[in-house]
Amino acid sequence: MKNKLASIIYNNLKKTFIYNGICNEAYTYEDIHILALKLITILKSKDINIGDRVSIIAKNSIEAVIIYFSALYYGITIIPINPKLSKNEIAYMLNDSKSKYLILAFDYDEKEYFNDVIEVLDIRIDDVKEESYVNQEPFFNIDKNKNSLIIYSSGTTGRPKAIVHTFFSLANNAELFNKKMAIGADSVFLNFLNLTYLGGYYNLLMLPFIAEGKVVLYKQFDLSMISMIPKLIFQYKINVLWLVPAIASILVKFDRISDEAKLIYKQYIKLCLIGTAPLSKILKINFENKYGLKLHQNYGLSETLFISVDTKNDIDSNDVGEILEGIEVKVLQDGEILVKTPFIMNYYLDNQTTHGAFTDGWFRTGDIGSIKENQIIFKERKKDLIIRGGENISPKEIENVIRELDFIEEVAVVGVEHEIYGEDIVAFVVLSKDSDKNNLLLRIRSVCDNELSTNKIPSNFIFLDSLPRTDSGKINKNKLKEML
Amino acid sequence: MNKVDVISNIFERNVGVHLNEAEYDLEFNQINNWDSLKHVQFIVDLELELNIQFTAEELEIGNSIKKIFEIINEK
Repeated sequence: MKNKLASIIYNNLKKTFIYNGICNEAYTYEDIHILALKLITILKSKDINIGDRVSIIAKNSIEAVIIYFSALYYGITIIPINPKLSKNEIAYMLNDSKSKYLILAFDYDEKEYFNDVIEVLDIRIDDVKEESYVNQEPFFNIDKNKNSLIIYSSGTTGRPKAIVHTFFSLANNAELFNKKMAIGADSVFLNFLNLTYLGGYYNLLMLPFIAEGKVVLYKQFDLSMISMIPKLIFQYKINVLWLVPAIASILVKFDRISDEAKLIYKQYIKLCLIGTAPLSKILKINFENKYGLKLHQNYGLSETLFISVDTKNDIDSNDVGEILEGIEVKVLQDGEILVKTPFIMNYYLDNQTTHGAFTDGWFRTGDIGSIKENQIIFKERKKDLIIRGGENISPKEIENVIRELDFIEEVAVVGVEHEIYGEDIVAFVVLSKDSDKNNLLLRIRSVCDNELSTNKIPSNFIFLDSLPRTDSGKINKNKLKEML
Repeated sequence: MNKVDVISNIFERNVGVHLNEAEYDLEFNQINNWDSLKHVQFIVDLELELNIQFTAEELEIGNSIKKIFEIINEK
């Protein structure tokens, strides 16, 4: 694999790999290679060494791309962090991952705060370009056993889980996926997912690299981009779109698409993939009817990478596709999907979590479903987890924050179906004293604002006298959902 | 209640933040607690409650209460 990765660079030296759609600049494979080597000069000057862990806070930018490739070349483990997370959440990740440095790839408002916590290194592309470099082979320090990436993902416990991957797992899994979907060197992807999550980092940067394709790098999707998408498709000849259900939903609802734009979608887009969260049947049908594009669902977790992908052309939204070659899947009696895959994460940083995630070598997905003719049919989640706009959110983490307040007797956070987000967050609260509810609500909101990132703050707080219980005494969250 | 107050109230309901008049020209991404998904629901509610429809170009530039008000006023 090491030679194969290097040959991707050598075979495509003069070919464009990244179009920076934000400022209309093109970077060839050779440019990325040289900038990665130049950045290593900077990393070395800061005493960052092979095997060190380094966190990075970045928006979608060429800086983030260069930092990722440089880390792979040099052999350091990178921890991408979303700038929208709260200070406390970021501080937890820096501490938990034992990061040696924090790299900032843009003018981050909280820089001063983190200056007191960790060594901070600002990286800007113009500075990297000016740097000298030692000529080395691409990926000269990469190794099949070397951890390359730590991704934090919310689980059912209060704190996010640190998922550790080698790059070989990612590259091999991407190669398999590309082969299955016939994604090759002629592919041009639009990367408008967050580069600090697997969607932006893996699906839309590293997987296209393995395919020897091109990537149009753009800011993270929001409502203002709707009219821009067909323009980007036309300008850069984008032929692969990779959506999440929240984006598909926004496009269906708000895209007052012209005949001309519709023609652009139909003429240029050869493959439209969708993943990261369950897709409803109605959304799939509405999207496909509106754009005339078939949505191919893929299934996988941050821990397992891609497990299956829908290669068929008929419509069945519960079908998340054919199991990829070399991956074993079985379903337990209670319906939980278990996976055995060569592309499994190395481990969680927390040993205990790693131990609990497997049964006899099979990874427990926490999803409920079935298998029919080698196709996975996804039904629902078994785990107490909310997926809002494609991001995993732990209800327990939110409950723990609200429970800190001395006037809270009980709290339960649930995910409720939402047309656009997929799921929205609602908190049910029982107060220990009867006082001014409006004032207490402000205090609850305030603690959420301080402790949680914006995407985790419940949209609605409902006060109850008591929470419903199951026969075994557990809070009955299904009953709470029915109240809404 | 004037139209700006109506817009501001819908914003407050969706984003959970009360803006005073001096903050109406703040861009949404400068506001703590705003995120792109809450912004979407804010726009959904505006369209529903004011019985209007934004064009894609209007969605592109409507990034503050003040600009949203200007767009709605021209409809």
